Amino acid sequence: MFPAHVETERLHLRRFDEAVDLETAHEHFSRDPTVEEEMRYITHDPHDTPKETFDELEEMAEGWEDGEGATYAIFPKPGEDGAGELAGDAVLMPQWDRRAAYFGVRIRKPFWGRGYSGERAAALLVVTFDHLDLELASAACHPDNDQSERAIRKYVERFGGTHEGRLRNWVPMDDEVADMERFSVSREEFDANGEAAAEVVVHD
Amino acid sequence: MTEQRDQGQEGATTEDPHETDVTFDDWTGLFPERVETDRLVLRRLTPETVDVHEMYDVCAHDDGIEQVTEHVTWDPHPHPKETHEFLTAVEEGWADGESAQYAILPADEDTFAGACGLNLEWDRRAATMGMWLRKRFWGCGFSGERAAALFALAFDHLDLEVVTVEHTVDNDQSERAIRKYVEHFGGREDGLLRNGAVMGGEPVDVRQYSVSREEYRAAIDE
Repeated sequence: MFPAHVETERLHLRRFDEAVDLETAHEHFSRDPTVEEEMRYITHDPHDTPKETFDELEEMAEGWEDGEGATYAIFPKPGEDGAGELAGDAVLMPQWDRRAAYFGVRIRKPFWGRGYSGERAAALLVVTFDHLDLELASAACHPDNDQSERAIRKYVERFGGTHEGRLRNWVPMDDEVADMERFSVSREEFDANGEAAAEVVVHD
Repeated sequence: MTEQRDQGQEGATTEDPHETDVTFDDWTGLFPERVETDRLVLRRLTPETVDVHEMYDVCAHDDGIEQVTEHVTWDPHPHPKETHEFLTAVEEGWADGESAQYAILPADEDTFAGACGLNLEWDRRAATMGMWLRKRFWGCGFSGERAAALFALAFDHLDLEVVTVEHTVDNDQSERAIRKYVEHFGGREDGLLRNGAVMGGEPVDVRQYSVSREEYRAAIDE
C-alpha cells in the first residue's frame, strides 16, 4: 500500500520500522518533543524505556501492513550536513472513508531551518494523491507553535492549499484540551502546482 | 393635559426562541429524560416516548423526508428494522453516557417534530450538537429554541467547555438557522472542513461552528 522509500532532492524517506534499529529509535523517541513537531492527533510522550520503543515499532509495522498508517524515517542525503543520520520522522495517516490523509512530522533540532519539513511534505503529497489516490491532505499544529505554523503555511501555499480554520478543544493534552489550526491541500490544488513536487521520486 | 409618548415602545413583542426558559427533569445517569422550553418538550428518544412504527413512518415516508435526509448522515429508513436498530443504538449511547438523543415534541402537537441531541466527546470536554426536523416544522424557530436547551444542558450541567455544530456546505436551511443561534450565543464559525464528514458513502465538505462556555455565559448574562 505505502511505498517503502521516497526520495526528494535532499532526503531519503524510508519505512521507519525497517530502516531504524531499536537503539537509534529509542534515542529518537526518548527526547522531549521539539518545538517543530507538527501535531498529530495524539501528541507523543517521550519513551521512558526501550520496551516502549519496541512496542511502537511493532505498531508501526502493523499500521504499515494494515494500511492504517505509514511512519517514515527521514535521512539527509550525502552532501547534507549530518548525512545518513536520523533527522526526524514523518507520519501519513489515511482516513479512508473521507478519502483524506493527515500528516505529522518531527524534525530533530540540529536539522531545523533547512526546509526539510516542506520537502518531506511534498513527498507525502505525492504519495497521498498519486499513489493512494486520495482527495485531500491535511496538516495541523498547536496555535502557539509558530515554527510549525510557518513551515506548514509555506508548503500549503506552495501547493495552493488553504488554512481551514481553528478547531477549538480538539487535542486532549495533560491538563487541558488544546485548540488546533488545520490546513489542507486538495488533489486539484496539488495537480495545479505539480512542479513544486518535481524532485520527488517514489520507489515501489 | 399632556400626551405621553413612550419613545422606546415597540409594537407587538416577538419572543426570541433563543431566550426561552429551559427546565430539566427526570435525570437518569448523566442526562435528563425530559427538557422543557417555551414551546417544546424534548423527551429521551426511546420506543416508550416515540412509537417505533410512528417513527418509521416519519423516517421512511414523511412528506419531504427526501429533503430532510439529503443533508443528514442517514437515508430514509427502508424498513422498520432500521428504525429499531437506530433506537437500540440510541439507548446504548445514553446508557454509556456517550450520547443524549431526544424526540422534539411541540407542546401543541400530538406527534414528534424531529429529533436532536448531544454527542459527547468527554476527553475533549466538548460535544457536538445535531438535529433534524420534519419538513412541515421548518421555519418555526424550533432550531434556536432547541439549541438554547442543549447549550444549557452542555454548559450548566455537563460542565463542558465547547459545543460544536456543523452542516454540509450546500444546506442553506441549516446554515441560516445555525448562524442565527451561534451568533446569538456569541460563538463563531470555525471553518470549512474539506472532506469533513461522510454521507451516503461519499466525503462531503462541512462548515463547523463552535460556542464556548464563556461565550454562552456572556450571552445569557446580557
